[in-house]
Amino acid sequence: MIIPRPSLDTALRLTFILTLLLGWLLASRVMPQYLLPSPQRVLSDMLGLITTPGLRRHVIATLLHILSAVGISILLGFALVLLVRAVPLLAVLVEQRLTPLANAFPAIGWTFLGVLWFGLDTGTVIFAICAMLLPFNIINISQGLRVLDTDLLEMATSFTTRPLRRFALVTFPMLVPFLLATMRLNLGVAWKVALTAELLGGNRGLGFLMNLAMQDQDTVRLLSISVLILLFVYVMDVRMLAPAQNRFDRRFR
Amino acid sequence: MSAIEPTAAPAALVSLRGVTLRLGEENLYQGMDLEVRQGEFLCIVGPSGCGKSTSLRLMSGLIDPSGGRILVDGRPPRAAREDFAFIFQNPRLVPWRNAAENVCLAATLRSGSRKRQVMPRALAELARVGLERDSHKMPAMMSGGERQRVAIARALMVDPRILLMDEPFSALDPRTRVMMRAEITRLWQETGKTVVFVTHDIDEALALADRIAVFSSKPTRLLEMINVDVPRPRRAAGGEAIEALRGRLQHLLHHDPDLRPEDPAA
Repeated sequence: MIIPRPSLDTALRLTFILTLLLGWLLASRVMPQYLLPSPQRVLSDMLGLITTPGLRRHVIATLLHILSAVGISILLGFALVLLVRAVPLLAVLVEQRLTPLANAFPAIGWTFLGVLWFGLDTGTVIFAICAMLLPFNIINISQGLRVLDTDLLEMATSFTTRPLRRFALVTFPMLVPFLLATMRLNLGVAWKVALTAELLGGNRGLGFLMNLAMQDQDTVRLLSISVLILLFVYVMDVRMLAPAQNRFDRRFR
Repeated sequence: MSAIEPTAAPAALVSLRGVTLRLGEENLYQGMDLEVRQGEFLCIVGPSGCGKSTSLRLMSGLIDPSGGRILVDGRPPRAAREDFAFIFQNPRLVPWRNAAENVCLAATLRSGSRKRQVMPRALAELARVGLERDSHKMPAMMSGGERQRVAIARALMVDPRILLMDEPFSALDPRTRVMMRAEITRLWQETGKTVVFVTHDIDEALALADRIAVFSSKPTRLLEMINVDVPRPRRAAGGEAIEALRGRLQHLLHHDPDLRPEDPAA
């Protein structure tokens, strides 16, 4: 396999993006604008999403839905995994029943149940995202705890009789790379689920906005929201979480 | 007095009386009796897998015996955990902390002290083991000997009454091992700590110990306690007394192929 040098790597990536934009531009020239608008129009609408207060609140709402749902589901997953560690009898219940059940349950099912239980509201969106993310978190975090360095844990135990101190100083830092990986996975899934949940069970957010755009057959808005999400995911995952995870991985080696 | 005659016994700091230990279907210990005296350097030797390291875990309360009684200065081991510090075969440094922070970790774990409060003491302990210039180094940047020195500094950081050392030099190269033996002898003489030192190596035991506890193969019991009444520094190849003791140890451990004399000791 040929491993590209950094400069060649960058050039390849730029070429890919430019080719894609050029292809889009050319295609938009030959296709009707209501089917494929030009990149300039989409970019202009995307800027409007960020700068117009009435539209920006939808962007902020989606971000809040995602961040709060990811936070809650990671905490909940962590708590359940710790509970299983403390009461091993619960492992059968959580790992062999709850997790596969939640894993198999469709996102749309959670959303409609959320609508029935909580109404068309933020709570429904956060509930649906949390429910979808929880099994991923239980699996990832419990796997992380399973493969922790037992030598380091024994070393810590030899110095302290206090489990909380040992957890805070040794166990938790060892879990950080797993938590970052879990967070990356969560964010990827959360964006997809958030839009569906907002579309079907929310009264604000980008999913809700997409629903309106669909009803108006507003292709520009649909594309501008999609590109905006793509940029968010790219910045969060590639520019923030992946480097943080790499940094932690190196420190743990 | 002959080197292998027992001396008058001072009061035991740690005592194991009739200790049994079952691990699954296996009887690991069957009626183990052992005493560790205040301020002594006790080495434990025995065949591979006989449970030498397990004895350290029992003393410090990391595992519980199936039967018998263990007392540390009159208390059960778990209540006396803070009297101990462990030095393991693998230094077990946390990879995300530098040398000084690893040393601080012991104090933070034990007493909850903040890093900045204990840092001056940690630097002093690192200086004691000759690493004053390496306090900023991450474990991945250190040699095996340096890592083990940090582990020793970490153990000394909590000022334990008893140092439990589980084959701490076995992963080091022969030259570093000899240096580390001299180092640990100096630290022991300087601090007056009680040391329980598990080793595979007869010459290491002969170079370091006041007494050598010889364990049998499983189910493990104390075969013999040998006094090493030879002044330090000791030369492994020197002296009739050492030769007599080596002969006795080899005789006791005759059945274990893993126990073999190694390069000349310090």
